[in-house]
Amino acid sequence: MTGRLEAFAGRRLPARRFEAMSLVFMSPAGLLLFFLFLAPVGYSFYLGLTNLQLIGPNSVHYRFTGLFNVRAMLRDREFYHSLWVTLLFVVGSGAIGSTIAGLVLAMLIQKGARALGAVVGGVAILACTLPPVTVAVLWHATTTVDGIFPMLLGMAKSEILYRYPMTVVSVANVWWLCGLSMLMFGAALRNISHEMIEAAILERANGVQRFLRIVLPSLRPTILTSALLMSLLSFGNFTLIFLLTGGGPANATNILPLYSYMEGFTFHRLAFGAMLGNVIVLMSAVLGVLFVLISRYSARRTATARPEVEE
Amino acid sequence: MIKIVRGASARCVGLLLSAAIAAVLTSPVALADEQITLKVVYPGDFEPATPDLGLAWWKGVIAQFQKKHPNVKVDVQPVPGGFSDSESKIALLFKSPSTAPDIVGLADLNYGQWVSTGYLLPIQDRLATASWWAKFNPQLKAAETIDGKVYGVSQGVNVYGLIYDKTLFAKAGIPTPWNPKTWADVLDTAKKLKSIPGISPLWIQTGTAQGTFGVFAGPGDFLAGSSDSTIFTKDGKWVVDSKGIREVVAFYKAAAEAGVLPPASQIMDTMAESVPPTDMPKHKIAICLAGNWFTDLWTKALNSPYWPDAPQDIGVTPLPTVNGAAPNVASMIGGWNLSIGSASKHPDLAWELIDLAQSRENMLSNDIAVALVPSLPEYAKDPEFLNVAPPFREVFAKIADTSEIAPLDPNYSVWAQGFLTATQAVVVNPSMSVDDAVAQMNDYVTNQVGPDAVVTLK
Repeated sequence: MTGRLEAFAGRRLPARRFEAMSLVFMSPAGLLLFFLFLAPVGYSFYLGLTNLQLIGPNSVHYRFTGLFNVRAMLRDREFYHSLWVTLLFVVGSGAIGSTIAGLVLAMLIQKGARALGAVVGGVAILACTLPPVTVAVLWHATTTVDGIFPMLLGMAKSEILYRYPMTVVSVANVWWLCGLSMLMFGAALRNISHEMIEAAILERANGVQRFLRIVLPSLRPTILTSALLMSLLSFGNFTLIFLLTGGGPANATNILPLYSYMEGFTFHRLAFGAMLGNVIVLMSAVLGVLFVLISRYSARRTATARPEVEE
Repeated sequence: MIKIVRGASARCVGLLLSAAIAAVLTSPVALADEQITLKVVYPGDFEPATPDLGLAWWKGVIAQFQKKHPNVKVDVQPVPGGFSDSESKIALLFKSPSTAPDIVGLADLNYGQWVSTGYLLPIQDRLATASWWAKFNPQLKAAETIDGKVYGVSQGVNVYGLIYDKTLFAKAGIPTPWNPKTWADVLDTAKKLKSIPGISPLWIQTGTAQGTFGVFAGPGDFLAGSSDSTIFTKDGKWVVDSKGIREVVAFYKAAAEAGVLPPASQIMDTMAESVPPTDMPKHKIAICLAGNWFTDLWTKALNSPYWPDAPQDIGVTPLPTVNGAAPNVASMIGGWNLSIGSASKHPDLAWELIDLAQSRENMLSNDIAVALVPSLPEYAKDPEFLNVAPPFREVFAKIADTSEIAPLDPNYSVWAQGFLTATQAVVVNPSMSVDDAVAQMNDYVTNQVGPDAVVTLK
């Protein structure tokens, strides 16, 4: 027992030695990472500070313009609007929407009949594996004139895609991602200790209390993981919005990746598009770092928790 | 003795080896001098009415060219994708010398932008010797000349006009032939056609998905016939509010309010213009603001299956100006240019190929594949040209004589996006006021180009 504690604290273990061979084995991955990720992103950071155009006087002769693009971006009203729409989409639809949908689905499948659960789970996972193009075509067909949703809502001849673009796009995103979330929660729910639930039932705790006091705290790491993962996936969900609304009537669904594409390829201002892309990279990096920190924090919590329970 | 022989033979071998190496090194260069490759790039899916015919036309011209130059290989590369995508792809091809084309086919909607890149070779000196340049449509000539230099020659143009279904008109009790004199005439007729269930009375396009082409295909034609069609003033400012712009937005709003437009999702789609050629034979559209190639698509020469009843069932008339002012034709004009890449290693050969492509038979056969009105007015009177799709081609050719061109400034795509945003806004939400829609356009363009580059015309 003492040995285990000391091993955990790391005092008696031999000090880590640096193995030169590890560099050789890591070099393929390192080189790939450098050439396919770090170098292009670095070059893109540089391009974001120039005045490069795709077609125009600055497509061949472009120069470094320092912070001009940064100032232009901070003056751009559409940039702030796009940031806001991105946050709405990523947090509202990605983090909150698909997490809740996945959790609800997982809990219902756990409680429901085996066969029904298998079918519903299978369909959700199928939706998750569909390519974004298919999802976009599907949702375009069902939310425009004579689609299923307008008919269900009693306004068959109206185009709810163009009247409530943000809603439709968010729902489509949740629909696409909830299968993944459901898988994560399904596994996590199975790991909740049955004895605690039974003890709570004996103590005459009702369903809501059981959920809030026992299930939800045990699911906390999974909720955080799911929320962050869904946020990252929604952030990158360019195809869905591009095909459904192309940025939305009057930029209503103009998330940052779409705005960057529009600036770069529709207005041919590659440098400004690259600058917006740099912002996207920074935001994704922040989300990614959060993700790593949370997973390390929750891993440490479960590692320290176990000795306490056994003791 | 042996040593001397060895030394001698070693030297011989050495000399032979170096001679062999020299021969090997120089011969590829000698071969390279003879094997010349010309690269031809054009938007393969978007430009021709039928991509297969477009490629076949190029192969025909190249075969003629190779009779004169058997040692020159011509590599024709059609670029896939819609308008914006093929332009982006071609721009990327120009970035590297190994992929840069010698001859490139480009829409003239972004001509000014392309010229400012420096990717295109000025050819006005060579044109002075070309017999066909003298008889070119003077408006096109002027459009392609920037500061006295010409960077591309038009193979032909597209124009827009109104085509209407005579059978549906008969059902609604409207007499044909139909010649609306004002925009109000067009709207009133559309309202009468609303009585027929299950059809779209008036099919006009809008929506930001199509970029500069979207303006050409819809609101731009109306603007050309409005009270003030200025888009870009002579002192370099973009017009974001004018009588003309307001008239166009008001027309779209009135049409949307009257309920005569097709569903927004249909007309705002990226491939919207593919709908009328298939829906009109099914009598689902009564009036359509159509490009001249829509009617060509119903001919046997271009399509299989084709629609033989087109000349009887469909009538064509120019889009009128807003209040009927002479010459009462409203359309923008957009064409396809051939240019030589400025980094081309064989500009003379490239010029020969272009000269060949612009010959009478080749230009006329191209107009079948690409469905264009020829750039030389006298070709447009050619019976061979007109007989492909009578009587439509004659009417569209006349429209080409009085059409407006798009501005050549690089920021045209921003103005186009703003204009489409305004017209799209009133189509999606007919209760929005014209003031609000125009304010959206004003905000949008000002935000992108800065307040010093925009102007409001009273």
